[in-house]
Amino acid sequence: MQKTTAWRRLDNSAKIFPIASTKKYSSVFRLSAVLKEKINPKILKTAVKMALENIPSFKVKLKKGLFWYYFEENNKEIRIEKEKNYPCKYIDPKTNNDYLFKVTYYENKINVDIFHSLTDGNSGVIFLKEIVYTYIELVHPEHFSTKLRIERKLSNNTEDDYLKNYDKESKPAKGGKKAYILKGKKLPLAAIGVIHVNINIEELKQKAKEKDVTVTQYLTAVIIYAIYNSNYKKYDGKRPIKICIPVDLRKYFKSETINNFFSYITLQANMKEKMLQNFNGILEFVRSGFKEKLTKEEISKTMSANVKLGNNIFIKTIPLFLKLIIVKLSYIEIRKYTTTTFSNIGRIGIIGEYQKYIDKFLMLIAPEAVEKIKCSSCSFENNLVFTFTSTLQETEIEQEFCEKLKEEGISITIEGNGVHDFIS
Amino acid sequence: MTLYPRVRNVKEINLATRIMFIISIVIAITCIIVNLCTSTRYLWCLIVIAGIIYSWITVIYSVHSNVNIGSSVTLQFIIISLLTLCIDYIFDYRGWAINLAIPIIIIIGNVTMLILTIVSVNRYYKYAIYQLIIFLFSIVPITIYFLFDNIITMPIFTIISSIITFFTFIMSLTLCGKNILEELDRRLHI
Repeated sequence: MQKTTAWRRLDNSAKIFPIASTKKYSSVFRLSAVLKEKINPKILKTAVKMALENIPSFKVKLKKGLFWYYFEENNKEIRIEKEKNYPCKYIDPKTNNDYLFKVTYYENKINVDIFHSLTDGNSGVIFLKEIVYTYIELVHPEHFSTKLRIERKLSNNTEDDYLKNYDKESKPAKGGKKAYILKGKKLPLAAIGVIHVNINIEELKQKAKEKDVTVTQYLTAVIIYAIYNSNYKKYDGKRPIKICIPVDLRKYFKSETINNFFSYITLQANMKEKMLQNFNGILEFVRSGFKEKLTKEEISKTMSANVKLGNNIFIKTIPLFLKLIIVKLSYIEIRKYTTTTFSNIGRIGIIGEYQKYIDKFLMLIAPEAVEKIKCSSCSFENNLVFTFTSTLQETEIEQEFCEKLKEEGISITIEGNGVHDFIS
Repeated sequence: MTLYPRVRNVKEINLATRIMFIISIVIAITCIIVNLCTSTRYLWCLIVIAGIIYSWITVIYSVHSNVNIGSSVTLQFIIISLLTLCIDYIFDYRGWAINLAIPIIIIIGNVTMLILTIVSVNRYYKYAIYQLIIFLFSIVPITIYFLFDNIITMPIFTIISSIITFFTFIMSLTLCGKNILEELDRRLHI
């Protein structure tokens, strides 16, 4: 008898990405590990294959059903390529052996571009770490015992934890106003400019502590400040600056899923208010905004509203081809409710023996037509890398951001992909 | 150690576009002068100028959008060629489509692809498959000319278009041969 191919449903968040995604809105994020030695592509390919055996939930392709997309086991060969395109580009499954993630390398760097349907940033980190651990073990077999390998337990739980945790009685939070959309000249040839700001984490933590805020809150405030001073004022903005901050739900609900399990909060800064026209006022606004919105109840409201929408019997029974049209059209409007997104996946913890081989980690999220700049950050050891991905030619926001950090006495260094001539 | 492969920055893209623009102007002026100095019976230089303008509209659209324009150029190239053949056939076949219109379409198609390849160095491999299709279609008229009599009665435009086709194809291979082969391997693998 012929063996049937394994398949699984997309989780509640994952459902929307293949429907809403286009070449202009790729829904792709990148996680990179910069090692202290040049990458060997053959060994990297073996490492990715081994990592896929350990985390098989990534070994899937996207298939069309009558009502929803679904994942099906993918047994094709994985492709490893030298990096030659801009980061976070739309992953065309046809040119990627149907995989929904793409592994590339350049010099000392391993990149994993992941289509958001597959998973979120936190589970993406688990996959990248598994690749990196395996790669290091293969390159330096003399330093790693099999015991260490066995001890690395990995979750392969692909349950939809949204369904387990949403509150059926919860009422949705109010939507809010449309956001200020960043203005400026677009980069030609669909280029994506990348600017990494390496920040000394001790100095950043100290500064945040002084101001009685967390690192995420502090950086959010600097982003609002930079947008306000270098773009909003210049183009005489009228609408509020709205920052979307993804939240890892695993911190609020018990979950071991490797699927998507995140929600978000949105801060709406009405810049016409006098209080918000100086940095300390913005800091206070961000602090109280987080306090009000970053609670289990509030996060549950947003999550539950989204789950209920996905579970609505009427929506469920709309054929996929109609969903594609409806969602793509409604997303033209929905995207106008966010100025930018800032995703901080926090500290990336690495087992001691492996640390000496790693220089840093990077996280990048795809900018798009409306959210022309997106921000992300992650930290490793004493370095936090804050990343701007942009489709704008101007770099005033990035410059203002860096200037503010320097003014606050925080040491930074800057790197980029050379699209802008900003790096000095 | 650098974190990213060498990418062209905004200034370099603008410079490449400007150089190609100057070359287009030089070609247009040269054609006007040659046309006026030889014979003014047919203002054929206007066809060249119209072709250059058409190429640039396509290039500018490509530079400012996020689509692979190679597919659009290829599709336009084939459809317009077939359309001219149909029109010629419907209106008492006189052979103007195969003698004149199609060679001009071939020149425009090939030159547009070459400009796109030069201007967008980091995406050239995406155009490879389309460049090959355009090349194969472009050599159809010259093949017909050598194999069959009395179909192409005014071969000068076919010969010029074929020379330009081979020139642009060699230029593309020189600029990015390895990447074209890689892309073909990827697209045509069995």
